[in-house]
Amino acid sequence: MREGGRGDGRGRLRGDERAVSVAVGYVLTLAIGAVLLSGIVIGIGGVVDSQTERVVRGDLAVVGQTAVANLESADRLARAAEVDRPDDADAANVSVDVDLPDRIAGRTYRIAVDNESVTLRTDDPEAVAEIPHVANLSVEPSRVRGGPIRFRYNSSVGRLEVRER
Amino acid sequence: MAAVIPGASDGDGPRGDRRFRDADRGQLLLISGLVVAVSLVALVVLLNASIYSENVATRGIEAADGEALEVRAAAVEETGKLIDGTNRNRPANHSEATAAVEEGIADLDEYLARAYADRGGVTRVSGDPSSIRAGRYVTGNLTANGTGDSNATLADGVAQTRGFVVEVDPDELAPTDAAGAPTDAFYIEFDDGVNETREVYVYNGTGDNVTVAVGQNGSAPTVVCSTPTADRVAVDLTGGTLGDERCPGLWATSAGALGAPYDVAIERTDKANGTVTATVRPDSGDAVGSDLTSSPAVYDAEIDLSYRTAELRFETTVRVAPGEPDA
Repeated sequence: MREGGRGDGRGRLRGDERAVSVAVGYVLTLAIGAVLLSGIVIGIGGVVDSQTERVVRGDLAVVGQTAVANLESADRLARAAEVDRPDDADAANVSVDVDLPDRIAGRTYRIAVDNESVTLRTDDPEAVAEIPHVANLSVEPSRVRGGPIRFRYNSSVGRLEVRER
Repeated sequence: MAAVIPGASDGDGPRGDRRFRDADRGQLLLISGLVVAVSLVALVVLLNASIYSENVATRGIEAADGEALEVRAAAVEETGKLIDGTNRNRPANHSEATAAVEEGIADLDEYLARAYADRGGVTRVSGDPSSIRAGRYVTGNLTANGTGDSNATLADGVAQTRGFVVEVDPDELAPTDAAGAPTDAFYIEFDDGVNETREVYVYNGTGDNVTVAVGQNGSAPTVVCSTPTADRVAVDLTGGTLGDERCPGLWATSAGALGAPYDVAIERTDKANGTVTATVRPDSGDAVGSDLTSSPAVYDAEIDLSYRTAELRFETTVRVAPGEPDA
């Protein structure tokens, strides 16, 4: 196949344009493929993030409503326990357990309870759900980790408390 | 995309080498596809969680306290009925009355335990015999009160009264008005012995309506309510009802607090006809002076009540005194 001397080889190679289109086509294909896939991955990642936030907010509200409903149940029971209770009788014992999820959309969360509302909070994404309650008894302000909790009535001070289980 | 088309490039090497080179070129697409697949799965899981929680939210949250309150109401109501039933049976002495109430509470405990076991709840109702306080059940006819007089003592030296009901025959009541009631109408008098009295007058007022007026220290009374005549009209002094209707302010102390002990008397019974029933707690001892029929009774009882489920615990003590006024 060799027809000329070594000196002519370089000139021939410079002039030789065979197989160039294959290499350029290959690189172009890879580049376009990479750009397309990056777009898809970034796009889907964005959707996942926005949906995660939406789910976290929705779940915080639902879990908060459940916590409030049970807090108000404990309030009703505690008040019923005090009706016609003789002064010298043993302290009333009222508690309501609630099995709240440990995580919301894979994120841990915190529950803060006070006289006005139950507030649930996550850090990532930063979301807060504040659900007001209408408990008649005063509620000891406290914070617990999200998960199974217990609302308890402290008969000696006449207040409702929340504790982790 | 050339990377995934087998044999797209025709090299000079052996066929085996070409196949390896083609396989290597698929890696970018493979990894990217994997990332996309994992992302989609995550998205599906998230959306599923969202749909589930929104479903839960629209389903409503079941109140956990309904059954506990139901158990409490049932225990209190049934114990009240038990006490009143025991008193109506006129036990011979207080220990017999106490034993009957205790036995009844034990039966009630068994009944409630069976009824709520089906629903996954554990109930316990128990009565402490030492908490069952002695009283007197006083009953009789207004006119035939044993004195031969129109005035009679219902109970002397009373600390508390409950279930005080006067059933009157409207035809026999004196027709008068609030101004004339202190001189003409049948009345019930509460006297604390230190110049404080409360009077509850019952008479036929305007339009022959059975009317109740409450006064203090013999002064002009105030009409609290009236009801159309019927065969018999029940004036529930402690329950605050006249006939079938609520009558706020009917209880004597609505005209001002009354010291204890006090005496209860029915006066001017010639202006009425009917029966009277009351359960009283003596201020001291276990008997009260009365011109009517008085028998040993249970005034009130304390029950220890407990209701437990997997999620809920409700334990308290309730004092049961059916028909006791709030004041």
